[in-house]
Amino acid sequence: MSILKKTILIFACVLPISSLLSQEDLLSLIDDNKEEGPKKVYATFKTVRIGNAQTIETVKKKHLDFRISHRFGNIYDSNLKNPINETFQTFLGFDNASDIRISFDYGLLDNLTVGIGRSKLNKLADASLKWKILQQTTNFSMPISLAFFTSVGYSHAPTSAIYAGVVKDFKTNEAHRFNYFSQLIIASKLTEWLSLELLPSYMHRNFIKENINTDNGNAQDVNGFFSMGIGGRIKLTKRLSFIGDYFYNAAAFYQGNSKVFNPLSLGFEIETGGHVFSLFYTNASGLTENNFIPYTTDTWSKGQVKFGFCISRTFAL
Amino acid sequence: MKKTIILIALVFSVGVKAQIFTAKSGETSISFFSEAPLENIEAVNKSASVVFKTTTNDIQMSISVQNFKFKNALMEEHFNENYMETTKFPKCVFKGKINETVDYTKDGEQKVTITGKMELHGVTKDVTIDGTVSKTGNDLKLYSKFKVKVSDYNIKVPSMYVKNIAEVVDVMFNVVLEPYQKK
Repeated sequence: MSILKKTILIFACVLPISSLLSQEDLLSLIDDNKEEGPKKVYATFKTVRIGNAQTIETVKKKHLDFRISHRFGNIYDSNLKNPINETFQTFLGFDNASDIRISFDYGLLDNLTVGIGRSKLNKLADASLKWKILQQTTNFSMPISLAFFTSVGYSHAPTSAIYAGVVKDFKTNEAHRFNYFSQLIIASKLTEWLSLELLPSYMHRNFIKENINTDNGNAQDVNGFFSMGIGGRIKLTKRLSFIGDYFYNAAAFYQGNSKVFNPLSLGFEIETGGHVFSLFYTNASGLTENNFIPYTTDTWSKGQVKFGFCISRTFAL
Repeated sequence: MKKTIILIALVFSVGVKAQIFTAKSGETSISFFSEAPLENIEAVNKSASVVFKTTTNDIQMSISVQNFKFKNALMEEHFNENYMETTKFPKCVFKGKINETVDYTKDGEQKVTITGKMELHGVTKDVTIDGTVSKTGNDLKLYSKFKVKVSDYNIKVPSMYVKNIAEVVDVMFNVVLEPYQKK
């Protein structure tokens, strides 16, 4: 090969490189060898609860989430003699309060939240902990977020209420006032507008009354049982979402029971920056898992749904 | 003759390398600041990609919006989710040229103006900003402070927050550049 040919060859190799460095492609020079790692998904949900169910979200570090939650009375109840009149009298249930809860959740770390709360129903004080173990990434290299939630409830209702309907000489015990709840939260932000989660849960109550489900072979109520929760959010706009959640209680006592039902909530959530307003309808009276999972005695099929709301305000401390 | 070829090849390769500069890792920061009555809004991004070509005075930057770090994690989430819509518009890109003639052979500092296009939140606008170029040894430094009007880039602030979020944000580039090495 002659020198000339070689020179031309070199030019031929070099020239395209220099033309590559024209204005448009300066960035592509480095973007090729600048691998940014996968990014973490943020805001799978806007706040720590959907309607009834927990979300995957924790409170950010050094933030305090102050929540006021309320469940009004049934909007309608086909069991009553004159349901329409009752609906009118109670102004769609707004005259009654099934449950009221005030709670504080604090972010010890970005992925570790501790909380305390107090509910009207069963005079329940509760303490909880939520630990986010895995965080989904935007490229789905980690397709889910995973969290563990656990809470303990203590009812300081009068003894007469705790043991109502139980045999007279029953030996009372302080431990009977406690109940425990644990769950895994498996969530995925599938698209910008759709988030779903599954919540395998276990509920344990130290003390239960002798209840029998006559609709299902006299299955007895049990102290401990599993439930499976499902929840989701559909974003309608940047700040407005459609929300819903449902729990299926696995114990035989809860199957086909005409007195105890699975809780379902459906409604909307509005986020304004510092506040999150959840507004929805649910058949559950209770506001914490320790109440709404075992003690939901109303059903959508009879119109026994209540308007519920939660106002959450987050403070940076 | 072989020497000539090698020489030509060398001249070309060296020439190409010495005219391209890229951000030195860990020494580049893009930050913004906005004074607000409740809590000042400020964030720093330390992982911008910058390419600078001395022969043409071209400067180009690409910034991952999600890499803006706030002290307040909730603010960071709202910034990405509600204002910048980061999943839809993950990058902010600036492509411009320095208007003045700068002597890159000597150490020293020079005030310049940079004209170009900035793409942010899916909106591209022509901008001209003031800056400073300084050279020390092999490193080039680029500094600029300018104002960005939030509404220019179609970033919507709900009326109830207009008081909390400034209309105009101060943006600061502080970039240290080194000769480009192909990795």
